[in-house]
Amino acid sequence: MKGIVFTTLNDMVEEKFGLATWETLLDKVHPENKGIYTAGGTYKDAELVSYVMELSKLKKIEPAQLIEAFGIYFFPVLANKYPVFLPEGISFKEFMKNVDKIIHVEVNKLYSDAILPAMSYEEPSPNELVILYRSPRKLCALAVGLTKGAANHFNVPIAIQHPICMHKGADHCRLEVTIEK
Amino acid sequence: MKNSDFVLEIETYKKARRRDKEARLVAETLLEDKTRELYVTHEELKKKYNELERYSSELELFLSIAKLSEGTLNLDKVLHFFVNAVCKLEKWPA
Ligand code: HEM
Repeated sequence: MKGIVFTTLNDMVEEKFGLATWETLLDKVHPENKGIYTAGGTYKDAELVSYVMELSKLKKIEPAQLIEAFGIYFFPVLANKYPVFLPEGISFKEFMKNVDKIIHVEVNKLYSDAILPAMSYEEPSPNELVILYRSPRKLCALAVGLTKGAANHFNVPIAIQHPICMHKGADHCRLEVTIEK
Repeated sequence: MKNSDFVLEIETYKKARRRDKEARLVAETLLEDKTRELYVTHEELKKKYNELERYSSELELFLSIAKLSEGTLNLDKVLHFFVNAVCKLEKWPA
């Protein structure tokens, strides 16, 4: 997983629970690099999982809930860092459809070692977008969080149903996003 | 140390830490911008290289035809050369 994921997790934990909590997590996880993360680096997925598990134990919050909250926190960080992907006038839905074919493709040019999920889309009606998510990482909770974060950015109220999930043995996750307007 | 000194000390550290973090972010952005530039240059060079390769194959082809009309090569040799050159141009077999 790319370094920005770790530096942002550090920021979020520090902001929500305090620096001491992040230090506690580092003591428990014992990362190979002693917790020195930079955006240019790539670090083990397993480390991210360990942070989430330890934080979950410490704060008695479900891992999926933490990952989703992290996604919501992560979106404005990405939006701030890569404003090119949010051109004037683009709608929430158009933006979401760009993630797989444009945004993540550009990310891969910049970081050839990034592993990005495969997402395809269905549009059953103008105010609905279905995201079919596939990734060996099964980070659908992150996809949900990032989608909610994007909706916040666009000031669009949404609801997400997740009727099919890789964590329940399916080969993909089905995220049904409804724009409530 | 007085309590107020302690608070002042902590505030100073916090300020310095924020600055260090900002410095890291700036360095990361610099690195990304350079990486992006390199990517674009690399792609352009690859394209140019392919164009040059094609151009040089074409030149060889013309040269062999010129030699044929000049009589320096016989038809058999030129045909052989011609087939090779066309295959190279069309990247066959891949
Ligand atoms: C400005 C917008 C975005 C940028 C720049 C961006 C960039 C990235 C980057 C750098 C990673 C880490 C890849 C790695 O560490 O190997 C990532 C992962 C991911 N992104 Fe995006 N992303 C954006 C928007 C979104 C949105 C809106 C979604 C919502 C569906 C999304 C879904 C994901 C997921 C689920 C992952 C985790 C990897 C996986 O599941 O395999 N991204 N993205």
